[in-house]
Formats: sequence, structure tokens, C-alpha cells
Amino acid sequence: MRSAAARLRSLCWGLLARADRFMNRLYSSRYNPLYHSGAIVVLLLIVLLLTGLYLLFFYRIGEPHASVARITDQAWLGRWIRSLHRYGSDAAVVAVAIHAFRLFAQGRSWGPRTLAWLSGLVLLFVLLVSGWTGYVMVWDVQAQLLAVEGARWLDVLPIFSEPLGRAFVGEQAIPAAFFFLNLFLHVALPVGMFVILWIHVSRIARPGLLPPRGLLWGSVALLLALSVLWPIGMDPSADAFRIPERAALDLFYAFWLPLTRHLPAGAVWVLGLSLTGVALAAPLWTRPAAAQRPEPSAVDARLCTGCEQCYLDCPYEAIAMRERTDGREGVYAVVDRALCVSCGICAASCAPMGIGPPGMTGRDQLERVREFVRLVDPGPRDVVLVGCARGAAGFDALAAGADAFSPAGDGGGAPAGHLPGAFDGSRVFQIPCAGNVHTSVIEYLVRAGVGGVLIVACHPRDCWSREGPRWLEERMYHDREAELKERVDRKRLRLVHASAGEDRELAAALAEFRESLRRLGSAEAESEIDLELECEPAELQEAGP
Amino acid sequence: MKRARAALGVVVAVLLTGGIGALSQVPYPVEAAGQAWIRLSWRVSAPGIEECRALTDAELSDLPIHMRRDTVCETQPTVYRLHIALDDRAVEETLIRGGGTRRDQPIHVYRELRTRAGAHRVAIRLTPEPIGNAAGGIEARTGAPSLELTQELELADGEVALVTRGPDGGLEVRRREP
Repeated sequence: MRSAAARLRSLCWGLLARADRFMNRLYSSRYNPLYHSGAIVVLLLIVLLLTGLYLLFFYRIGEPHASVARITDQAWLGRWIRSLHRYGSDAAVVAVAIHAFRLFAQGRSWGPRTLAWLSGLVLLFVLLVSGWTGYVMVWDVQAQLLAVEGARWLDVLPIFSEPLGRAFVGEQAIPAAFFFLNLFLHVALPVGMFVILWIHVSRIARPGLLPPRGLLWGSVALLLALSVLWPIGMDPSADAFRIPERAALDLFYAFWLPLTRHLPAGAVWVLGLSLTGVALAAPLWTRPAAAQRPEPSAVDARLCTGCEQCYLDCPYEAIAMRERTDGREGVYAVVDRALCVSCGICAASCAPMGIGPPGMTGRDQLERVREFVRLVDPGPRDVVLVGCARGAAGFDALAAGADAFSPAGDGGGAPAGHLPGAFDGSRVFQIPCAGNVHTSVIEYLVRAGVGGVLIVACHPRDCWSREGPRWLEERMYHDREAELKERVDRKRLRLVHASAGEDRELAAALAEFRESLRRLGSAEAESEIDLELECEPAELQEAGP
Repeated sequence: MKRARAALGVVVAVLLTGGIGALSQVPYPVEAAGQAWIRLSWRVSAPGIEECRALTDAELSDLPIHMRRDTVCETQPTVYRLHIALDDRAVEETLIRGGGTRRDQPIHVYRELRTRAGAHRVAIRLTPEPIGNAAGGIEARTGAPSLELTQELELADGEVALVTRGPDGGLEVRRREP
């Protein structure tokens, strides 16, 4: 089961990487809509809220179809605003699907992210039901199909004494209470979505709720242009005494209708509940086997200076600061294991290297980089790639079959003594996230006489750990703790963003970097590299807090 | 090169947006032409048959004082038999029970007969099944109606004819006014 899930995930990741690369080329990574799918959903919800409020002024539950026809034909801008409302809701379904696909493909659906996954599914369900009620409000042919189909499903449940479907056969006029309830749900459900959205992002720090301004206005402008150029028309009113021959079906919300209409209602329930169960259980079947799951971060309280940098940098609010109880003054960091996703970002924010998941702390990285330099023995004109395992350097090195020098516990560690994998002739020192690279590793490589160090991070909005590339850049160039020391020659460093699949872009950046290094001349190696660790455990008192 | 990429970006954005517009209103053929439906939809109250009997002295003495009553009654819900024939061919013969956990709520007939447009003869009969035992001093009461309809129908293409109860309680056919 797990291996099948892993294969499926790997396939999805490959597809996603190709789509991301295509969109990056067209719109740049900053405006790649695939990276902003979650934020685009929020934007569209706001658009739906505003356009929905306008439409609400004109809608009449006593004459649903006639009032929508009036909106379309007579109300000021009504046709366009109604079209924007509808196209916006369609685009929201697309954005939700892309968002869910991305998180599934990237394996971000289990462990501490379970709450976000489950609340996301609830959001999708509420969005679809809300759309359903929206279509029923129009009371045209499609509305009739949706209402009758929904009643058919509900009628197999032993909770109604009277078949709901009878309400739509024309025996009596459809009660206004039905349209009132429908309208109430269409208003109440989206309001509830904002509450669920709050839960959805409750476990992350600094959630990006809106896309960049260019993408925001670009998306709205495109939908508005579509609404003006191709406005939604009116289907004939629902008629219980006519067989509907043709309907303009919205496949985003009623994609299931052509299938379910031909299935018994019981089978629809079995199918629907099965699919729902599989989706809800994704946190179980997508998580790695216990032995492969990365350990959450741990704090060596003896080394913690209470600077709060890890607390500030953690993208998942998994770190809290507590009063010390060991006789020393101040606070120390404590990791909530239930919230930690083992991204290792805290390891790189800690100058004394006192925090991080086992095998990923600054001290662990230093050990690995020493071994790397010993094995590779890079020359003064060689370039070493320090690459995120999920970015271009890691993805393509692995895809090419090379056993890249991956960190322990990441499922791809090279056997001891093996040469690390290479990308375009440069050896790859793999790290689980760019935000995990401790600046001491970069300093060590430069001072060891490597010609140049090319750090390959994912695009900032594509980071699996959310903020890795952002913090790395600030640590390298903007003095964020734990900053790269001034003595490190920046001319021999370069930070590039290349996500999975962007091997050509990475190769071009590598070639350009090599050319700039060629002009610099050979690097000089230091025989004794003193990294000035800010404190050593042995020098500290042994007892923790 | 940069301009070409920007142009391609605009084209892709327009295509994707147009795709949303196209998939938002896909012409969907719901039913083929030449069909006509006869829809049956009505409710009938099913009062059931209440059977009461006097408790014996022995039964009374077994009961706590506050639960002793002279007679006990049990209601057996009415069960209806529905028979539907279309063009002199039986298409359904079934028993229908009332709603609710005790089956004492009204029964509902809700069926759809899908056929071709044209002339048809429909015969519908809904009759209560004989239940209960009227002998032995048991008080019985029934009020379940029998409903019957036999009618020739000329159904137009795409028409839905509704068989339901009219103002007099009997079955009638309702059709869209031409």
C-alpha cells in the first residue's frame, strides 16, 4: 500500500515539476500561479463574497429564475457581475484542486500537516456544496437536475418520512421555504469557509493569504475579461412537465452528474463515501514507514542562548521559549514534537548549533561536509553544488540515477565511502531544505579551497518547508542570525533558485557561475579551518534545564 | 525572445481562462429526443387497523398498579398493493408500507415510467391489503382508500405527464397546458 502510494506520489511530483517549470518560464517564479494556488483560492473567495453581495440585492426567493433573468438582463452590470461570480467560483475549484495536488505530490499531507489536509478537504466539500446551492438558486434546467439528483440521493436515507423528490414533480408549487433554505445555505456556507480557513492555516506562521499584487490583479482582470466577452446566459426555467433535453452543465461543480444519474442512489453513496474515506485517510497512507519518518527537532538546552531566532524562524510555530530552570537566567527553546515537520530550518538559525532534527543540526552538517571534502577533494576551480534534495540539484541528480550526497535520514543517503552524485560535472552536497544549510557549511567549503559554492534552493514559493530559501538568503546577504561571516568571500558564492525539473536553468546558472569564477582565478585553501563555534557542550555545565 | 515568451504567457493565460469559460457551460444532452415520461406522485394516509382487547385479571395483576388499564390496543399499519400496467403490460406489482419506524405514517407513491412519445394506455391500482382479524370482539377500524386509474394518453415528445390525486381524492392526470 505504502509503496503504491509512494509511486503515485512520485509520478505526481514529476508531473507537477514539469508544470511548475513551464509556468516559471512563462511568468517567472514570483508570478507562477501554481505556486500561489492556496492564496488564489482566498482571493477568489473574496471576489465571490463581493459579487455575491451585489447579486443578493436583486435575488427573490419567490421568483428565483425570473429574478436571476432580471439580474442578467436589467440590473446595472448584473450580467458581468453574475458571470464573474460564476467564473470566480469555477476558478476556485481549479485552484483548490491544484493546491491539494501540490501538497499530495510533495508529501505534505501527513504528520503535523494532517490538520491542514483534513480542513482543506472540508473546505473543498463546503465549496462544492455551496456551489451546488448556488446553481439551484437559478432554478433553470441545470438547477432542476441538481435538485432532483440531490433529492434522489437523500431519499435512500431512512430519515425522511416523505420522498424529497416529490417536491420537484409539479404536484404542488415548490415551497418558498426550499428556496429560502437554499439561499441561507449559499450565504452561510461561505461564511463558515472563512472559519475553516482560519483552522486550515492555524498551524503555520506568517501564512501568505493573498498572491503577489501582479498575479492578484491579473487573475481578477482575466476573469473580468472573460465575464465581459463571454457572459453567462440563461437556460430555460426548470419545468417539471418537460423532460430536460439539454443543459449547460458546469463541469467544475457538476462533473459527477453524467455518471451518477445512471447509478442507483445506494451505489452513489458507496462510491462517494469510499472516495471521501480514501481522501480523509491520506495522512495515513501517504506517510512514510515509521523507520523512514524524520525525527522532530530536539534542543540541546546547554547550548541554547535564548536568542529566540529559531522561535522567530520556525515556519510552523513549533518552537516556544520557556523560562530556564537550571539556574541560568533567561529562556530556552522547546520544540513541540506534534507541530514539528523536521524541516531543519531551526538548525540553520542557531549560531551555537544547539537545535535541529537528529542528523540535521549544524554540527551534523559540519561533520558531513568535512567527510564530503575528504571524499571529493574539490580543486580550486571546482564548483560544489549545495542543493535542496527537493530542488533541481537533488531531483535531477536522483532522477539521473546518481547517488547524491544526501543527508542521513532523508531516505537517500550515500553509503559511506561512496562518491556523492554529480550535476553537470559538479559534485552535489545535498541538504533536505535550503533553509537547513548552516552558514558554517558554506564557510567551510569556501575556506577549504573550493573554487565556488553554488547554493541551489527551490523557488521561494515552492519551498516544501515554506520559508527555507527566504531565510537562507537573509542569512547569506542580510545578516540574519546565524549569518554568514563577513570573512567569507561572496564572489565565490552564488544562490540560485531552481526547483525540481529545472535542470536546464540550473545548468545555465552553473555555466555562468563557472565563467565568473574563471575570471577570479584559483581559490586558496586554508590548512587549518577554525570555524569558531560559539560554544562547545563540553565547556558548559552538564545538567540541562 | 523575452517578448515572445511574454506573448506566449498571455496566450496561455487567455487559453486557460477560456478553458474555464468553456468547461463552465458544457452542452450536456440530458435525455434523447422522442421520450416521454409518466410520473406517479401522491400520498395516501394509512391509518392502519387498531386492535383492542380486554386484559384478563391475571394479566392485570402482573402489571404495576399505575400501568393497569382495562384494554390494550395495537395498531397494525396498512399495507398497500400497487399495480401498474403500461400498454396492458404489467410493469410493477409491489407492496408499499407507510413511513416512519412504526410504518404508521402516510404512504408515498413516487415512480417514473419512461417510455416513448405517442399513444399509451396506463392502468394504475392502489389497494389496501387485507390485514387484521375482525373476529373475537376486537374493535377494528379502517379508513384506507383504494385508488384506481385507467386512461389513454397521447404523450408528446419530451412531455412529462403527472399522475396524482385530484381535489376529490381520486387519481387524475396532470399535463402542461398547451
